[in-house]
Amino acid sequence: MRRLLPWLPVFVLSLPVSGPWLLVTWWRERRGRQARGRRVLTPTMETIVRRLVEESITVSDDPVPLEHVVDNVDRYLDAREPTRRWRIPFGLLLVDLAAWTRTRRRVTQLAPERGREVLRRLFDEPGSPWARLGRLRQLVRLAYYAHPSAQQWMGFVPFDARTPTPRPARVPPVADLPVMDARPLEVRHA
Amino acid sequence: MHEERVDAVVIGSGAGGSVTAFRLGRAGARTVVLERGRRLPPEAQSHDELAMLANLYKEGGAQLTADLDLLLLQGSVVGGSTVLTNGVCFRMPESVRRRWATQGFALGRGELQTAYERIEAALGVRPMSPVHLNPGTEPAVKGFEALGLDVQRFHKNLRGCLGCGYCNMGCPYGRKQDAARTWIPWAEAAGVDVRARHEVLKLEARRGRIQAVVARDLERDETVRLRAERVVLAGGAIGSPELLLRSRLGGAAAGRRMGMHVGSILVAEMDEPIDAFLGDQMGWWHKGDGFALEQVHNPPMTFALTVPGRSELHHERTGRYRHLTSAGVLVPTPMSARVVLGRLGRLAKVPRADVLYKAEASVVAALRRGFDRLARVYLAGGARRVFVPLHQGSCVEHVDELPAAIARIRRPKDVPGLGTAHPQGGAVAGDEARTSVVDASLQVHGVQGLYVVDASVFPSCVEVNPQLTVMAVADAVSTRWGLPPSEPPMSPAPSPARALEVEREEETVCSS
Repeated sequence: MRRLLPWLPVFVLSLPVSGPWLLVTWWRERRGRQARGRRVLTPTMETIVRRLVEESITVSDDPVPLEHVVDNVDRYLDAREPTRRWRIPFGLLLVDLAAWTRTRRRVTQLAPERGREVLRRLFDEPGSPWARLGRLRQLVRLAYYAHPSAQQWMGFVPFDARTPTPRPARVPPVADLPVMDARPLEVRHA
Repeated sequence: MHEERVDAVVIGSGAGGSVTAFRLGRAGARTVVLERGRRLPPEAQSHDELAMLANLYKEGGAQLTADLDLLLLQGSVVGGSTVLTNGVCFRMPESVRRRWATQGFALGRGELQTAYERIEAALGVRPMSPVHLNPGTEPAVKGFEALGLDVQRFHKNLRGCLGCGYCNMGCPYGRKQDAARTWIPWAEAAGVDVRARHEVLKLEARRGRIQAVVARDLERDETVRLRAERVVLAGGAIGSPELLLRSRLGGAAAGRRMGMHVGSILVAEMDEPIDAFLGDQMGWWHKGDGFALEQVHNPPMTFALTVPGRSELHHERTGRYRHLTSAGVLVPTPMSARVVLGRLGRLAKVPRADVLYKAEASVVAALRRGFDRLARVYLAGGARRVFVPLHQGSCVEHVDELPAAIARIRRPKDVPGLGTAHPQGGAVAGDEARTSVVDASLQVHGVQGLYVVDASVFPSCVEVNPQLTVMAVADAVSTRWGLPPSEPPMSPAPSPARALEVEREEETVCSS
């Protein structure tokens, strides 16, 4: 916070110009979100999510359509409890700003290939001040692998689709695994 | 503002709050439990990992330390974090009980023993059925045996478990005997009023005595003031100190001396498909020098987060899910973390807490030792290769390559997905008001009628999964308060599984 204080006068002085621009952008993003039927993701955030997916899950035989990953991110952000809900959407917008500091262009204005390269540099370059935003990769991985097609591709069998089989057919050696002995209130150290 | 008068208010419905509410209710006290999370019964739970993550976990599972380096996993639902556990029930090590006594929180051995026995009987805690050990257990056990190391099966609070493997995402079949299935309904049967979606804004105390609790009903968007002579704070090791700090109670020690279990997961790959998802997520554990190893095999979405590597490499490895098995390393930290009101949060209407913690060199060293042992176990057990959790996804096929890979873990940042579980401390128990928040009866120093009953009173890390100990401490302390001993009913029989037409016998497992 203290590092941002010197910029406060600059911010205040620029308000007559940046203020209306911010308002118009906010209004446009809000309308875009409603028009696309999204609950949280604005058009800019959505583009950033797409770039993140392209950057962190690049595959030729992709089992999950990109649109479904974006749907899942929106669903997840909407279902979260109210506390600090702003953090992830704010982080997505910061990615846009971070790209601008490197290329003087926003992620949304970059070609997919270039966007991918810029994100990789932002997140992975040693000493990058934006490296922590790399956590957003986890968000898109969650949204991607939550999809039933991705799970099927992994070879996972949903519980309801499994057939009950008698236990003795499987894993006999582990049956004699000693049971944790809690009685003496003492943990044994190896 | 709506105003009410009751005998007792319990804030939080997790391991500590639920047991205390039950004891208060049985003693005839008009008690209200306030819980910020939703009420999500088994019928409302599912195997949709993304939805469960968003609905059951605090901040949707994205709660982080202030420097954004470590994930802090906690529940935010009626039943608290007990709803998210794998049902693992440990009694605390005797060495920890003795240490606590020297730190000013003496719990008698017999007193604790009685409480543990009562809780275990009520929840049906027993050795986990071998029927549900997942197939990933076999190579691990083989590895432990080959290395001459001790490995044990967990005790769990499951009844009629179906082995679906989704314990960390609740239990849609109602088999896990978490607080929402046991203490909360038992407390309600004793007349306790449990209110979900109620966030406590502040505690009011005057002249060294608790007066009231001010809370917000998040559904109706209205404020309620509950006047009570006894207030029990059980919001967990982050929530309880946060509320004390916000209410300017608890003195200088509030928010200090907090610890947790830091950990991450190591994935091993077998030559043949083993389908480790067929069974319980957690079956075995092993105690090492300054660390514990616990089996954790997550369902597909959360499993994908534990596979190291980037882009194509990550995707390719995740695609071998049927060949993969995994376990975690847990390291108890010193009590060096702090809960503070966030810098930005102070400007907010309801200031939120931040957790400040920098992992010590000793913690990183213990993590290294844990990963080293775990990798050796899997390689000795027949794994084709193990993935040491590094950003580049270091792949080790032979033990000779292990030291170089492990040595690359120098800082917590080097380990992707490094997270924490079981936060403890922050409102610790002790003799002196200068260094502790509550006394041996868990009453806040200098504030009569205000108690803290959750893991935040632990003077040091309990070193094992803490839910059973939190419940036992709550039960033992309720007796110290003079509440009459009240035997809880036994665990209820499992409800018919919603998704299953025919009840499956416990002696069967599911296999593809």
